[in-house]
Amino acid sequence: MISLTSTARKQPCLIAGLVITALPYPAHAVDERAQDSALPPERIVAALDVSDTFQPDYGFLLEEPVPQVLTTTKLRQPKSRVPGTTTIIQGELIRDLGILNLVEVFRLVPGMTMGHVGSNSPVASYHGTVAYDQRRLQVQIDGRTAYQPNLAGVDWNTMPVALENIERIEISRGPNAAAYGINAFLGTINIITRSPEDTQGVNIRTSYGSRGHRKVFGSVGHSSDRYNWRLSYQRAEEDGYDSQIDNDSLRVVPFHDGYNLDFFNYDAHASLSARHSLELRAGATDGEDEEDIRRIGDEFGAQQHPDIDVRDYYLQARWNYIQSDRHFLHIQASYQDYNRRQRWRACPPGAGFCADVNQDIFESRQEFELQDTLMLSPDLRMVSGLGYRKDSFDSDTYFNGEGANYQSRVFANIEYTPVNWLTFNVGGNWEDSTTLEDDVFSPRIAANFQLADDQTLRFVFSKAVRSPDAFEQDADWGYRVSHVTPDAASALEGTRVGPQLQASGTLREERIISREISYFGQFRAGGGLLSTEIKYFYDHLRDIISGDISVDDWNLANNVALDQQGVELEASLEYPDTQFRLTYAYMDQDGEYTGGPVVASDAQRFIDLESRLTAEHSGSFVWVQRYGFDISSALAFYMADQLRRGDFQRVDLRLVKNVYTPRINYDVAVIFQHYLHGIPPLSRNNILSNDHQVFVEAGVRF
Amino acid sequence: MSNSNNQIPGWFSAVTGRLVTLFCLLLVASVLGLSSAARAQAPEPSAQFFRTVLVAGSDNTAFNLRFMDLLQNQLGSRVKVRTYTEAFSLSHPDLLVVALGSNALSQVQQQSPRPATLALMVDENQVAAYLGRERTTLSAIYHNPPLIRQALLGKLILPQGNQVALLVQAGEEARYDPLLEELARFELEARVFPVQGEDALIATLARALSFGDFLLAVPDSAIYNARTIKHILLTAYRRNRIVIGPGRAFVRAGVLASSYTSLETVTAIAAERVRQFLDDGSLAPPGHPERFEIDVNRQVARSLNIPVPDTDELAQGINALLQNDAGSDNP
Repeated sequence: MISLTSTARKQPCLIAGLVITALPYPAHAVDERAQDSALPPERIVAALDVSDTFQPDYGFLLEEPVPQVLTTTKLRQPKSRVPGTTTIIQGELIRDLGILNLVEVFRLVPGMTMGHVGSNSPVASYHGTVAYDQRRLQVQIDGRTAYQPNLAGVDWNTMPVALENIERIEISRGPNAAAYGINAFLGTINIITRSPEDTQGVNIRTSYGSRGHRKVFGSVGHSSDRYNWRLSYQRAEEDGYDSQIDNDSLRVVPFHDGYNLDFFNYDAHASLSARHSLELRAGATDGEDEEDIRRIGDEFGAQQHPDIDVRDYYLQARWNYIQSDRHFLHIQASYQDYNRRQRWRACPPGAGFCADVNQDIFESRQEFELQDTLMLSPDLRMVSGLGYRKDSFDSDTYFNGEGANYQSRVFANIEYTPVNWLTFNVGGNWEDSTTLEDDVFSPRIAANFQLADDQTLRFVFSKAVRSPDAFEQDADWGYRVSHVTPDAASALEGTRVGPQLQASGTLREERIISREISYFGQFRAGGGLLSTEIKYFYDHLRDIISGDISVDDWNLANNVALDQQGVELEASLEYPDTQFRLTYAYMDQDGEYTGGPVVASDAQRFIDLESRLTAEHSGSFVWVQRYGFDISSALAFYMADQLRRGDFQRVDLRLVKNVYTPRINYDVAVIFQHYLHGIPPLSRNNILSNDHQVFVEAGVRF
Repeated sequence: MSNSNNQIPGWFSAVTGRLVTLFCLLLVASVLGLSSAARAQAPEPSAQFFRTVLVAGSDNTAFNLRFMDLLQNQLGSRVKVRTYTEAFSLSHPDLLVVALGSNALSQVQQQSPRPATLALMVDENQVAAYLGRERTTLSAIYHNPPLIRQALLGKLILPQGNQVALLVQAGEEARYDPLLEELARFELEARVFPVQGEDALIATLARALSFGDFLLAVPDSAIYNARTIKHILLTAYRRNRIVIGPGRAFVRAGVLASSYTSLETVTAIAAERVRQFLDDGSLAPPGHPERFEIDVNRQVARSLNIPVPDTDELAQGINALLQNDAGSDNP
């Protein structure tokens, strides 16, 4: 607007003339320079918006864990471009279903089974192949390898992650050595915890119920532009199974197989600049994992329960660098320490002495990874990286000392979409390890055909190996006695007494060739959304290591070949207020003994040993329903047939009342679990006194 | 100078100055008067050539130019689109002023007497303060999409979702009561989560996401702005929740979808209102443009594995829902 000033008053003609001159030509007199800028209309409109300072893209979504599939290739990919079936279990679903233990989540995954092979030490498997532990899955928490370094099993009870902190779990179903190296033999489990940026405020939750279940969780977090952090604490207690069968009297006796554990976790994310950020994680687990006196073996003459004192901790740091939305990388380093002290007083029957013995083992893992993601175009993307790992052990009982294994690897995956209906993924991992005779290359090739906008057909071929873990290959197992009484037996002090085992060290790596044809489709159905994924697989597993693992009965060898084929289905149907989810897996396994000469029954036994969690049919069905007044229910049915001793079937029902107020959310819930099967499906010692289990839980968030 | 002043009497100088001023004013008045007289006396349709509408621009000069070009094209050569000045508007109080943005609206509405005003690129809140004042002829075409339309967009993209969460500033909860009632008619249960300050944004968002199947973003720059949108989107997406709105620019920033009305459409609607004013001096009441477009971030949709229908189909679906609702209100 032009206003008359004192100066203007002295030049009235000039002002009047300007007014007259300017009026007919307003559009051209305002700012000619602006015309030259020739901004496109949408940019001009946007300039009036509050968002005018936005970046013109959303590259920040690329390096952050948005819920694309991340695990399979380490590239963030929509399901239409992922080279293989991948199940994503949202943390919210876990909590909605009232799942109380992490390992039980995997009953929701097609082809996965879980159970307690021995006592209260749970085991999860994909496509079976479990004798005592599952050693053929890669398990990661936030990119940090989480299975035991040298025994290669997965201790789910002591895993330092609370259910309340889980954002989602991605399970890449199929060999994934091309991205993760050896041990990603049958699949990969990637547990992704909530970002500290999302958990501002206070979250408290507690549950209490059958089998001595007591759990308290609390977290507090704070977010700011530069630094976000979360401190979590969890106390978890469980009494385990109610009863077991005494080996001698065959009577039902109480089972001492619970645990009580404390978990501390600290997660932080620091934004150093627009391009640099740092993630820091630390955690500790402390407590007791109970072991029953009868499970350690009568020959020890144990005088008390040989409970395991658990003291684990980890440190993890990751530096992220985003050069652009087309190129970013991270460097991650972590250190984990597993300390297990298991000591008891033994008076071996007939030996004439008593002594302290132990099964202590101290393990650690140092891990380093560099990962670089380069997007040459939206249709040509590549991830590559380097990895280094050192797994150390120190156990007088299991290894007669200390040692370490080293692993180095290089990996890459290229995703190429030459036309919009076809995507190729070519990936591979070259690896050198002290557990391998020679270096190994594990490839994967996949073609995804986009049949329609929301329908994809995949063809996947992959190869992988699993090297024997340190214990399988290098066990030097024996029990050294101390504090020997009486004095007459003092000569035994400090010596190994009783049976001893020296592993042959001649095991070769196991090999798998996997072929997959899978289909992923989404359909809108009557106001709802149907998502379905069907997989056909045909896998050849060769040189599978099978045998007894006992100090006085050790016959591990590469002596089994398995051919597995089957079909897996994962489907969900979501309507307003109603959600259904169905999984089903059928697997046909042909086993062949390929070891040295044995009688036929022993040959079959070697196959059966690795089939304790192998089910021909398994699946789950979930129905989540919302009602008025913020009440909802979740019904779940889980089944697996023909496990070691029989079928597993359970129905869970959770009823919850949520309250949302402007400042605080809280909820109260009751969970019912009902076991439908008759006998314990895996071990006769896993006896529940009541098929009905009841739990109550409550949570508050503000 | 002092000598000259002594030689020329003061009264002469003053009279000369006043004459010059008077001459200039007469010159201006004659030019304007002639044109006005010509407009008044000329027979139809030639008089149409002298109809005028003023445009009070925003601070964004390029945008002003673009808008005036579009408006001129829409109105044709019979109506002249001119830049607003207070002086000219005061001298022609019967001319309609199109105000672009809240600053321009404020400026025009401070003028006395206030001209008839059509406000564009403003939202309800910015216009509400000026409505209801005496001797005010004010209309507006709201820039922000109506929340009901945004919510229906969310419902069509996520038909399996029926719970909607809204983050609002603390103290403004009651403003959304009518919306919540309206959404209930579409079987959408909405709940408002007030943000008690910037520090509580993410904590409140996390609680809101535990309720809502999707987050309906309200046009409140205190909550949704360039600094906060990244955190809001990442938190929502990590929980597999989508965000709808509040505007098109947010879609480019990673929001899944928003409805919007393009500048071309806004200009076309504005031209209709201008013509109506020129014809009978009336202005339609303020409101949201009925014509709109949908913008969807397809990359985000793919990332979230959400099949999103074609944008035309979405727009038709929204219109059908709104028409059915209007039909049920007026049987």
